[in-house]
Amino acid sequence: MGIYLFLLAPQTELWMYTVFGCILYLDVTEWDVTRLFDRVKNRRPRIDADPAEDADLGKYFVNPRLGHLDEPCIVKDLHGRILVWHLPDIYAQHRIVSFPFTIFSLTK
Amino acid sequence: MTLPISEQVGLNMGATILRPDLDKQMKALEAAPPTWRNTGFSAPPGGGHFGAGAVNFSPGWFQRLRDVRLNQFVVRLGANLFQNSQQLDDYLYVSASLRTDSAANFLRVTESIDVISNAITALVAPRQYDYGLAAIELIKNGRHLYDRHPILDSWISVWSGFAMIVNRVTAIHRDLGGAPEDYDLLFSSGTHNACNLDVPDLGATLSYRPGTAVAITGRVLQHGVKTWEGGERICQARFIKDAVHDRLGLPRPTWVNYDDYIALISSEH
Repeated sequence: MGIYLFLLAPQTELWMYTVFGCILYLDVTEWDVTRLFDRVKNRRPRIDADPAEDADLGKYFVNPRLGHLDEPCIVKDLHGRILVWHLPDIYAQHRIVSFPFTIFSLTK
Repeated sequence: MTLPISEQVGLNMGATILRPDLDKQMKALEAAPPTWRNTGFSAPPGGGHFGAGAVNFSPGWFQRLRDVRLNQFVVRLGANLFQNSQQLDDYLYVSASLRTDSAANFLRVTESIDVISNAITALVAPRQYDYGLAAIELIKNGRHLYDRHPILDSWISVWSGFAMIVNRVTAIHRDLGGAPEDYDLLFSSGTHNACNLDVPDLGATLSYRPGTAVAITGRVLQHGVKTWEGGERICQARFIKDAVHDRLGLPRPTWVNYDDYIALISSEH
């Protein structure tokens, strides 16, 4: 699926640094994500938030209050399961510029 | 048509080509009942360069309003009521949005982004990459599809599909289509210069400026975008449909574990 071709591309170095840089900066929750998921309700989202469910989850799963994350990082749970990979600036500028162009093609 | 890599030209083209179509979509949404998916659009005054709207693409998914569990229920019910009842029609379908010339053009122009997304997936979620690749290969062989379409030859992503979301805030939500172990891959683009992805379960706001990718376990963690500043916002959200992987006989991936990466760089290995 093109991954090996990608490894030859000039952007590879930037991409690899960003991903591996994530691993050096990590935040950890105090809970087990599988147990959190057991308590998550499979309701369709509503336009407004659902504070009742948030409050209920908050009783059992301490919110880590990680604040604003600006750099590459990961967030893992109590047992090391990675919940989030944050990869800022992983796409090269010329791709960011070209990407919106493709929106135009959708209307043709 | 191959679009030139020039912001000025691209934005001018957008102003003339994109807006009528998105305006039409927005008018259609006015008559629809409000849900979190069809509200929150906010194009600049006059529509800006990109207008506003959202389009989903998938090479093989269940038709809308056709849930697998419901189908299975109907089959069981039908089999009990009628001994010679037909088999369940649970083929996968190429999304209507993907059956167009413009979609083919879109896939061709964004091929490099597909390749990068695949590469990111292979590194941050190797099992999900493997199963995603297996799923796309199974879909492409056509046996599970209601009918094949030539556009499948241009689909190189290992994801079940993606949504293109233009100039919309996104309510805090969980994505119900994936498995809890699956990541969604969110890619921020556009011309804006400030944006945050809120993840309230973590008490976190992630910077989400253009060029950022976020892989998030979206079935488990709530996430959304309340606002953005300084331009227009485009988001590409890649997703896995767990029901599709189940239909194809593929297991769910295991959780991605931090220790696996430490083991990779450990001197003991």
